[in-house]
Amino acid sequence: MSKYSTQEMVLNMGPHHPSTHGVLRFILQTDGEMMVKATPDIGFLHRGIEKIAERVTWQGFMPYTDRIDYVASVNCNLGYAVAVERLAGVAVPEKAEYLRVIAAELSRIASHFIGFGALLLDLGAVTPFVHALRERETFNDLIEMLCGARLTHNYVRIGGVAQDLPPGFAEKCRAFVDHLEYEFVEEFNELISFNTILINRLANVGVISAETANDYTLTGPNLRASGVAFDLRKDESYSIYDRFDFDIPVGRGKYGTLGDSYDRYFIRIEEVVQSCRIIRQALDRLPQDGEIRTKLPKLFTVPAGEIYVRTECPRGELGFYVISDGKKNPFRIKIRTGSFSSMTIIEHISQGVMVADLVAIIGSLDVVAPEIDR
Amino acid sequence: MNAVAEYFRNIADAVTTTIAGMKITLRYWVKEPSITVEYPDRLGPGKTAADVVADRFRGFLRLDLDKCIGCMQCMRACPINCIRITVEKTAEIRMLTRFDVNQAKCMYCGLCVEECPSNALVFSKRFEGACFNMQELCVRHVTGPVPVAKLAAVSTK
Repeated sequence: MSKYSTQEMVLNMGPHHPSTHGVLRFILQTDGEMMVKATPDIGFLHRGIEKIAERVTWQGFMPYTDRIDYVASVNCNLGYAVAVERLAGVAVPEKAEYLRVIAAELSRIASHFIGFGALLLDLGAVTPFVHALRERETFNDLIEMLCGARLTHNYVRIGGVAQDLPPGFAEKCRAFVDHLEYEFVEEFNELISFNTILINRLANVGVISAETANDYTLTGPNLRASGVAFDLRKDESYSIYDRFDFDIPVGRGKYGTLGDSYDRYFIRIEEVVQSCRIIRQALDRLPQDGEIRTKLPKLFTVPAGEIYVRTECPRGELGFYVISDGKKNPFRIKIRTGSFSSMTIIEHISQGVMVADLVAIIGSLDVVAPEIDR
Repeated sequence: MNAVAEYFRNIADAVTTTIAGMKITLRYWVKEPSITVEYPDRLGPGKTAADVVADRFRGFLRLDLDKCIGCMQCMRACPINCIRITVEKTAEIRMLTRFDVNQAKCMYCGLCVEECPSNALVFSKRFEGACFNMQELCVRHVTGPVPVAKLAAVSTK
């Protein structure tokens, strides 16, 4: 044995590491600065939401769906509502569908702000994060006008939405999306996206090919960044998304390889613009009057049966597998989230990267810990 | 390209793009007004915390006892059972003897307010619930027996 030997070292990253997006733990096997493997250890934020569903009413589970992914609550509300409505055969009024789309797309924008903002913060760029959160503050004010809460919105109901648009909302919302699409995105790109230091930090790091992404069932923006144009809003349309004209941004490998961290970062900025387009169209076509909620019986029950509905959340597919036995509460609800898929691939793509790059990979995959554990 | 030239070009690129970003930061620093509101000390002249939140803000629950018909719909709608109501029937009059809302447990989802047929239960804009004892957050809306209202008399929907 030589005087100096090399051996692998096991390091813990988290569960309180600020750059792990919630309470997440990684067990790192390192060889010096290089990583042999990073194994995610999940479950710190498990709250048993699926079990809670079995003892609350159908409508009463709606506030809990806020907590699946608290950064984009309306999208989670919408997924659950669509699943129950399809199973129970509840029709949704026209106006409610438009209101849902407006709220869900606003929520998607806000979620992407956290997504790329937190990635940049992890990489040490504090200013862009503050810029992103400043815009998110406008979203918070808008959604507070709309439904009264800033974080856990609980806006969607089975068979409609909770409340109609307040006076002045449409104008403010239009000004917000115009500001985002025509001013903010350009300025933000100049501020950080085209910065050479950031590009060198993200390009060619954590490359996921389309095949690997498919193998690990990656969904949402992470899949599209690998060059696969698959968006449930277009390919398996739910609600009224088929009526809107929008593009699906895909990764192009602009500064490096297709499917690298930079693609995953930049695709979220492009999606913000597409969401702005959807919101503008929805505001234009919003019916002035009409019901916003189907009247449900006082004791709302769902006929026995089961259904799986997947919807497009900011972090990928959100699938609700709902089983009903005809009672006033669900028999079983299984939730499948996009962050969970993103989490499984980290072990694969972290092989042979540097420890500092792992932070970029986790950030670019945009995982949210409560969505993984539920 | 020559590796050395590439190296220096990279540095030059980093400097120019960083300066481009710094210009934006500088502009915000010098020109744009501050948007931070110093809560709770400097909300603005004559303003309280309730004035800065939206009209539909979901704060502490407020009960109008003149309107409550004691139907217990809110209690049934609550997913976490933070509302406790007791209605006693004495001499043909239904009396409300207990209406407790545990604001410490409440998650402000709004399902109870939607269910209320007489608009007796509404959200207030109050949200500052910090206190030293958790029991203080259990709001007892009814202290003694109160006769419940008739739905026909108060119905607003």
